[in-house]
Amino acid sequence: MDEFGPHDLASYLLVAVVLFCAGVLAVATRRNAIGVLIGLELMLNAAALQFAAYGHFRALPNDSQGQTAAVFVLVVAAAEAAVALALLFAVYRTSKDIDLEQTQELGS
Amino acid sequence: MSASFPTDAAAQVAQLWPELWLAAGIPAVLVADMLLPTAKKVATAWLGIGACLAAAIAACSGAPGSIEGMITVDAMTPFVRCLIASLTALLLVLGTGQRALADRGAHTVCVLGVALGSSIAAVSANLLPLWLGLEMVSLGSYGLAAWKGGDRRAAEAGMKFVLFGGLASACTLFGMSHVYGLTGHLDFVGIGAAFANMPVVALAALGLVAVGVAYKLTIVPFHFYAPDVYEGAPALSVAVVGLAPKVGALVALARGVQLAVPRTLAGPEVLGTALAAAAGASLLLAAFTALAQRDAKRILAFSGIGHAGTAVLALACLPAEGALRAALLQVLSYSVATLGALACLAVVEQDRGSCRLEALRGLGRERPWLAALLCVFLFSLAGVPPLAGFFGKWVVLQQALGFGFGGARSAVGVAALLLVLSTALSAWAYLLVVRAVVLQPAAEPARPSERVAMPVVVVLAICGAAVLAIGFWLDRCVALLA
Repeated sequence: MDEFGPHDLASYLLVAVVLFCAGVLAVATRRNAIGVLIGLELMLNAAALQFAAYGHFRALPNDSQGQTAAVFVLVVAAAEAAVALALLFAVYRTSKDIDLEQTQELGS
Repeated sequence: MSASFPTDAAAQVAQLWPELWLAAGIPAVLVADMLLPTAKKVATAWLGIGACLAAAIAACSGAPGSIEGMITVDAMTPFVRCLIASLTALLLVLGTGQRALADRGAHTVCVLGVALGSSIAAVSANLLPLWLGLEMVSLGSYGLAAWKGGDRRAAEAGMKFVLFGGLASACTLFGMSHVYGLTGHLDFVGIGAAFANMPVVALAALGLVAVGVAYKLTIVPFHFYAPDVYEGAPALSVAVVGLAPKVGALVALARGVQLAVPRTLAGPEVLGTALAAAAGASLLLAAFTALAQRDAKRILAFSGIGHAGTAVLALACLPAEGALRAALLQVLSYSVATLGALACLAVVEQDRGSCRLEALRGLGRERPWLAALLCVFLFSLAGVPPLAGFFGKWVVLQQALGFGFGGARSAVGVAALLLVLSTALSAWAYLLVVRAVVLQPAAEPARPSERVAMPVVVVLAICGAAVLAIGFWLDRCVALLA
């Protein structure tokens, strides 16, 4: 297996795609809002990994946009998780539950 | 992107004055919020208004230019930045009229953050600042959606917003990383040049990037969160979340379409067809679903989806001259009418605790002026002739019918037909609100109502004047945009 080693772009992309799909699966199937949130974090980190991998293997000399983007992703993902957890806490305080099917009230 | 440090750094930073003013407003408000006693926290909102006005003035005096590969300031930018900053200033003025608004300093910070993010998205010529701008909008608006402490529906609206928003953002980012891997660029011009030699399939990566923009614009199929968020969130927050971000996202979409999609490829045809399809689907869905709603804010959510579809229809004609102008005029007329309608609904919400159609009954008797203005704004959204909304739809329709670029022509034609059809259909939904307000008597006898607060009156007057003025001085408005 030549194209799947620690020195090949393909192996990093494979890991990223698996992470992203796991995230999508979690978002689609989890009923607990925290589970959905974890799925979102997986998806964001898959993208960050891909940025770093492309930045390492594909970028022109003196081009660090891939790595820069990966760092930005980390910061924004942390900020988003903080806001999301605050909102989940607000939901929990008002309905004593964060099950996405139990908290449905809008749209009726 | 060049690696060398620009020698005229000061001149490049000067391009960003409007954003810098908004950004400076945020720490200023935070410090003021810390220092001021509780009774005087309203001053933080006025600080925010000052920052917005400074940004609007800076936007008008700015000259076209760019920061290499990151920011582009073109002929349309002053108008766009001005619109975002003045909408935000009006929203903050509206906020000062709400005495019970919780945590005013933090509220002002979130509103300024949304404005800053929208403004950055509107000027970015690179995927990274575009994504950061969209995220800045998101973080502020997630919090604002739930800005009614202890309210179950508001909290649920916030949760739905953040979970679906995170999904859209992750898709955008995943697409961005693929675009970077395929082309080695994140700036639109570099992407466009690199894509010119690739098969059409490569555009799928750009399609993934567009998910986040479409989410902010509430374009079908990324609209589904909007009705719930509009219904659950307080009316003031709905106006923050639904107006300035749409302007920013629309301009970002236009810039991406213009720069990042190469002309040589089947690009314009594929893209025009895709945009026209999304626009048609949005128009159709908004018109039909709005009829079944029983909440005025939900009706406004579907109105937003339909109007976003109309603006995107204008963008589908983009190589044509005047398409962007039509989209901006459409979004301008939509914004002022919706801001006015939501300002009216915010008063109703404070009085009666809900914006359901039952709760709106008897408003015409209780507050005749407010009811009359609400009807004017709704008629404008419905597209009744002398008002702004009619001309917004008219310029887009004109653009779509005069469109003659090969492959996308039939799709644009069908979408234009849908625009006419959906305008007629959705008028019925607005009339449901008007009927509840004007014709139906209140279930309970009229309560002695407080006077509407002065700031709200000012905002209503400005929006009402704008809705009339855009109609009467259409030529000048179009000239202003050119």
